[in-house]
Amino acid sequence: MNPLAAIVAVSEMKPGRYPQYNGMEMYRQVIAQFLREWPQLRPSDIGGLLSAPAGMASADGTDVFAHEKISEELGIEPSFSETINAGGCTYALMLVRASLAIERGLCDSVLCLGAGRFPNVGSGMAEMMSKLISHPEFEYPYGTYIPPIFALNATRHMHEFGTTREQLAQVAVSQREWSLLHPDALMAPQGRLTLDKVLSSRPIAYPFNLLDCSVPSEGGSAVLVVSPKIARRYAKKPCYLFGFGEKHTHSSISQAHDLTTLGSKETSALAYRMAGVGPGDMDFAQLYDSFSINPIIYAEDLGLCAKGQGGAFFAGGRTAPGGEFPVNTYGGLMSFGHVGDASGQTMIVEAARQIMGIAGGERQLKKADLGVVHCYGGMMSEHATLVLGSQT
Amino acid sequence: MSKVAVNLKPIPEINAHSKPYWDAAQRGELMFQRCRGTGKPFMYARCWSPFDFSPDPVWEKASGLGTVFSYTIVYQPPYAAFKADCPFVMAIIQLDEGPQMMSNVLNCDPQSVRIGMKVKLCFETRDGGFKIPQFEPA
Repeated sequence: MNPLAAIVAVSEMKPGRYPQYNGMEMYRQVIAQFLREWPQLRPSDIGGLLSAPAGMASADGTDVFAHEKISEELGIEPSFSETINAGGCTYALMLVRASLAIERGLCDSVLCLGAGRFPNVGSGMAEMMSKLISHPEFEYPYGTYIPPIFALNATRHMHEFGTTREQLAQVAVSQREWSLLHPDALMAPQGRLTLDKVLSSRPIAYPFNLLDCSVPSEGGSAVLVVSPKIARRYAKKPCYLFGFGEKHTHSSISQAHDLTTLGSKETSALAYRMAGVGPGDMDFAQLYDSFSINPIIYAEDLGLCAKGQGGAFFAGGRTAPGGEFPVNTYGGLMSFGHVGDASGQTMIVEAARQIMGIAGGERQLKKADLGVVHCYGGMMSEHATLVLGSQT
Repeated sequence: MSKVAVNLKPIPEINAHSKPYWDAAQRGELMFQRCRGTGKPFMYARCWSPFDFSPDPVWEKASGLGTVFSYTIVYQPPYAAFKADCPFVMAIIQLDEGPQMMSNVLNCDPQSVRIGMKVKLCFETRDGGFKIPQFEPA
């Protein structure tokens, strides 16, 4: 297989509440931790820099010049740099953009940064979010907000394929099991989940109860991507990018052409073809899981099971620790924590740790040679699939 | 002392290109657009056709009949203005003419709503008498 780029260093803040930090200060925290964990790095090791807007969805405004400010503080003058946004899909796209820039010789390395948060609901922020995530003129008047929008996908999936609430709940239960193996997971202190606990938690938007939903929190992460030619200078066992696919299908959920087959079908096909592999070659998957329905749809679209079989794919703990096929080995957004759009990079950090063999403890998979990551942004609007692996 | 119930749920900020849609709603009509080149119907309001970029799509009155394509029952309100409505139904309605739109399903038990259920146009009056197109069981 032909590696397109290599991840050689990653780090992630512990998800939580950081009200004392504004958008730029969150980035400083992410970078300070990254430099602590990878003390051998120097400014000359960073040829390019990609960031997401600082302070997205915050009351004090969004800074789309984050990349300039971060580069200045790092003491670098990158030959490739910008602030980009595609919601949770941003970070998969950073890896795509970084690999293209490296391939064309714009730079040898790119530092990808994310720092996300959710706005506190109240004082008009919920209304602002609604206008941001749904059509501000034609959907917002109907009370749209994030959980019911995704519930529309779930209800339709239940209608078309007979997916059950128990199958949705199993996603939450299995992911909680993984989170118990992660020292930084937000929900790990709450302990195990059962189907009953999920099914008896407070209803939010049918078919979702509270425990079908991810946990809004704050956090961020850093990923250093370099040319495959120099990867071993930085890491004994780099995590290589072998294939990717990108697709943007809609903005407003009511205008999506399909609620149960998404852009992910096309992006995974592209990614597998580029890598020269198939879904059967994967050792694990990280599937963006704002809600319990999402990994079910992505398991189908990514070919890990047949269309309509996503519920059965998760049944009985098949994807939990010790199961046949590990999914969301860090607990996912639902149990590790949903750190705003930066959750898209949490998945990449975890996939890289598994492939680099540095996940640690019981969480480290015995076989993690090839894995697939699927991120989406917006209301399942923007899609990117990555095929990552260890050997060259 | 009489209490006047004011509906504080949002009313849209109307743009020049979508004004015919909202003007029609105030008359009690639902409008969609049709591409001049391909003849295909679409929502939401646009200045051009998304099928062939032909300008100035034709406005057409909808029959007001449709089907629930998907729905959810909302238990936790998005913000205060929807609190009194909970639980309420949020749904994607497919019009008999083809286009899909967001709506609530009013005037029924939320638990009775199903995918494939036939619905018909109705209107909800909000602050200042502004009418929002809505659907109810047919």
